[in-house]
Amino acid sequence: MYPQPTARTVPEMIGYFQDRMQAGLARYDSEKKAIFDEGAAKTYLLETDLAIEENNKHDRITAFLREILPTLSCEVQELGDEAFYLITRPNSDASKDRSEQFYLQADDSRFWLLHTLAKSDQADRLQQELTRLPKIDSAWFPKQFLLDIARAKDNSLQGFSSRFDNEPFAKGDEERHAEFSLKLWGNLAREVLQVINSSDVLQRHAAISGVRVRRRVADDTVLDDVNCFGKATAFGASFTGHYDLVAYQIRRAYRRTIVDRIEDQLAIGLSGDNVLEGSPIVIRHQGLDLDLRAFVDAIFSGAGPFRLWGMAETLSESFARVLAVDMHVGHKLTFDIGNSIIRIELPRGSCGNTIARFFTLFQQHYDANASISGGDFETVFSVEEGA
Amino acid sequence: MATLSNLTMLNAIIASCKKEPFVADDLYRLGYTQVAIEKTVVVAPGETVVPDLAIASSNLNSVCCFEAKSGRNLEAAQGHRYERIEPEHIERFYQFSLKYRAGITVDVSYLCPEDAECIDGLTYDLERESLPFPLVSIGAAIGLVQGRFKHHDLQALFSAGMAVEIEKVPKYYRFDQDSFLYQIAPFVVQTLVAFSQQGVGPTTTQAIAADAYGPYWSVTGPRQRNGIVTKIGKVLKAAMLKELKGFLQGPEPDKKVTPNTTWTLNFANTSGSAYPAQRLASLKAAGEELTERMKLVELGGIPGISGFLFED
Repeated sequence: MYPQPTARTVPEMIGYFQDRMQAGLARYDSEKKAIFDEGAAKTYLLETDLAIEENNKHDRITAFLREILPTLSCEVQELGDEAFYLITRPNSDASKDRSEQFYLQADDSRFWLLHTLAKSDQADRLQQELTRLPKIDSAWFPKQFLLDIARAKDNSLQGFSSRFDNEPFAKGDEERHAEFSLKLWGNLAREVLQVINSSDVLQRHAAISGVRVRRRVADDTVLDDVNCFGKATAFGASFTGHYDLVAYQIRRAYRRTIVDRIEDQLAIGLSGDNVLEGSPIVIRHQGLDLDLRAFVDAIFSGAGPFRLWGMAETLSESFARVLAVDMHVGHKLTFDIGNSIIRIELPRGSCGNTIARFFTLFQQHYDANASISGGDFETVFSVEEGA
Repeated sequence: MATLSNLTMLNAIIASCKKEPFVADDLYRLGYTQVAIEKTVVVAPGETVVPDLAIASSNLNSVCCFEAKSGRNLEAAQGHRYERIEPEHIERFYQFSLKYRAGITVDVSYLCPEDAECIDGLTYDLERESLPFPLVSIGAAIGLVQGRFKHHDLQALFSAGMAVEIEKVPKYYRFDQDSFLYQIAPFVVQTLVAFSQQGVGPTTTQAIAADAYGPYWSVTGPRQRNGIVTKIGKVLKAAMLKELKGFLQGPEPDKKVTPNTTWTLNFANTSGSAYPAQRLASLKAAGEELTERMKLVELGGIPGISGFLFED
């Protein structure tokens, strides 16, 4: 027996979440006590690889969810809007008898939104388990994309978090190991970023792993924490402002980056006229501080964090060509690696999200200040249209 | 033997038409893009040419057809057919009319390795046949050896020369039927790992060849395809019997490999679970050992093994 859904359509869900957020704020005002995570709405942007045709979208997504969700102890029910579902899961904390509810909005069949009021530990657990499955991945936001969200229309930067750990490259060598962690909330975030940008060492190690964004649209204001794994957590009383940010600004910008730029314009393949279209994607960083073979081995083991398998077709002291496979989706890509340049050839038909995952993780584990370009795009990841 | 293959020379020109980090992008900056490979152009009734590569710049209203020659000899009849190529042929067969203005400049150029024997042989042949085509050599640089391009920007660019590090030239064309098996093997192993991770069921030599060969498979002729499939069959069989034993299953050792021979990947990822790290590492090591063994046989001439390696 399914639990009764609180909302059957997206507008009803928005109304329900709005009420819950306002109730949470009222409680905070009356009790003058912050209750961490209580009433905070969370939305996860997920990337899927289901090869769905528009005419069978609903049936295909429903069948897929019915196949995978029981393996995660979840129940799924179709709701009133097309490709809109309620996922219910028992709370993993046995002392709590209520189950957690997640609304899955798959109206964009490639980029799904998972909304919930569940606490972060429960919500993050489901997101992590979902993205361990083949065909579902997180969205991955590198530094450029996160800072662009904070700079986009109607938004302002209210803080950022930073996390860096080069262990995949240091491999237990304590002298080489570098870690950096920082959380900064407040209106001096921009000034602190300037300080970081003035130091080569800080630039390399202060990987931006999240931003706090204030979004103002008309009379609506919301504070959102957006992290590099595609999660946005809303604080305040406006779910509509949060929804506007994730569904319209972030999801559209991410689709534009992954599909329009990476897969349609940069991926390499033959056109119908036998023209080789596309351009290599180029990552520039501060240079190798370890042997090229060790660098290649650290990235292409097939295991985490990069989840890329690769075999060197060419390997000299200064150059390597690695034939790689993304172990998450089984797609191929070629990496040409020099001292401070990584050139990536993504074949047409391969998943652009692989580039987002690799680049985001490369910033967090090797060079936080790495840049990415391709063809006529000076930077591949940006939020504003036409940037 | 020539120092460079036709593929490397063509890849160098294609790369220069793209914004590349490791190859000079002079042609890209002039607006050239690769517009056709191996596309037949009828130059007179019953007479055709098939340039290995054609590039065009709409900014400059210029088209250039390249014929790569890794050997020392020119095909005289082919050269004379190229003499008959006119802008209208290009417009008709490359369907440029919608994109380009009238009055296209059409150049034809021969590419050869930066190798004295090749350059001398081709220079001699071009002069003997009075063929007016510029000869461009590719080695430490891409530069004009003799002749003139009709388009002044191409003339200026190739006269000045473009620096190139051959090792870093991208492999848009990965290999062909003349490549050594050790050059093909890494691409085959990559395809097998990708198929395995995608949960691909039993597959054929031809399907593996098409995936390993890359984007140009659809425009490769049947004779070349057969040659490529045969070589990939040899790689698969050698791998199945040694380095990838247990991962790759195929025909009985005494059976001939055909394009339709079925291959099964024993660890196909049908369950969706992640590969154990140890298995991934062993696949990588197996691929490297396979490549190294083939290199030793093909370049080192190890007796005894080659008979096994090359059997059909």
